[in-house]
Amino acid sequence: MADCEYQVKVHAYHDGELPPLERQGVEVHLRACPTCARELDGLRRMSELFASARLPELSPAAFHRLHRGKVRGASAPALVIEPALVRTSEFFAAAAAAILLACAAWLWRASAPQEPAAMPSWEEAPVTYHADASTGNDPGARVAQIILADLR
Amino acid sequence: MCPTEAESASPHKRERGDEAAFHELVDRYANEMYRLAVSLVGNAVDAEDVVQETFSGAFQAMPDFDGRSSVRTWLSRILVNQAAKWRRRRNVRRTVMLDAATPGPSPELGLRIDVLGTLETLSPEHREVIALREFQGMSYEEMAEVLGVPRGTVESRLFRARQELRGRLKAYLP
Repeated sequence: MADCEYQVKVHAYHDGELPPLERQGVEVHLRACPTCARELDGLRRMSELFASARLPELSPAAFHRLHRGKVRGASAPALVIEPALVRTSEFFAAAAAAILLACAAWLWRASAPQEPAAMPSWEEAPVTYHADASTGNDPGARVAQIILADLR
Repeated sequence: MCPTEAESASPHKRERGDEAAFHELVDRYANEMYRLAVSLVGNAVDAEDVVQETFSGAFQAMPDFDGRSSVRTWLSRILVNQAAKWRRRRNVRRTVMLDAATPGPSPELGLRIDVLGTLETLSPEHREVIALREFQGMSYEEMAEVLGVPRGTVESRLFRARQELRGRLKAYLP
């Protein structure tokens, strides 16, 4: 709520928005009204404050992105792809590559010349089980002896 | 502010397929639009996105630009709309608790943070008029054009926004 009917005009005066005649009228009023004079002083301080709060500049990289983005949009607007779609396609491409690799490895192994499988030495070697006194009562050792006897 | 011939002509170059005109537009206005975006959204990262969308939107809207307003006003209007879209997308009402009685330790950065933080506490309508007037130095007519409201609305919003700010920036405005 304005304390003086001129207060809104004081804002317009501060912003340089008044025609010359109204401007003169406000100036006369300001000399007689301490409320409006304080208002004007506050407005000036506020504008100075905003002016001194220097806002950041756009970085050169951001400038580059702006130019590049525009060129991309200009030359091929139909090719603008949603990031989610890009991520999905990348996933499927990776999966397809993995499957191809697995198939190639399987084919390579399948086509390699087959060597006759050598008989494992353990099948040839005589198997003996030396039961010692410590395993005599061991049920596990007895089961092992039965299995060995069966293999012979 | 009246559009200069060069200003108004730039977008029409685009209609003739002159891409260089658009690069010129970016070179000439990107920084100014970025500062406006920072004052509206309150941080550099989102401001860059808003600027990117602004120029992208401007590029799309080039054929519709009739030159009745200045390029600056036209771009600012697109940016204000993009910032409003950004606010809706964000859909989070952040409350910035500022202790206006204790300005930050680093004078320049602290001041900027405090000023931007205080702007965030204003309603979008009040923030817009302050940003356009105090950071862009726009006239009431230009602001009315950018915001699509009558001049009288601009004046009353500006008056109320300043009244609010005065209370919140007491530490800086004794």
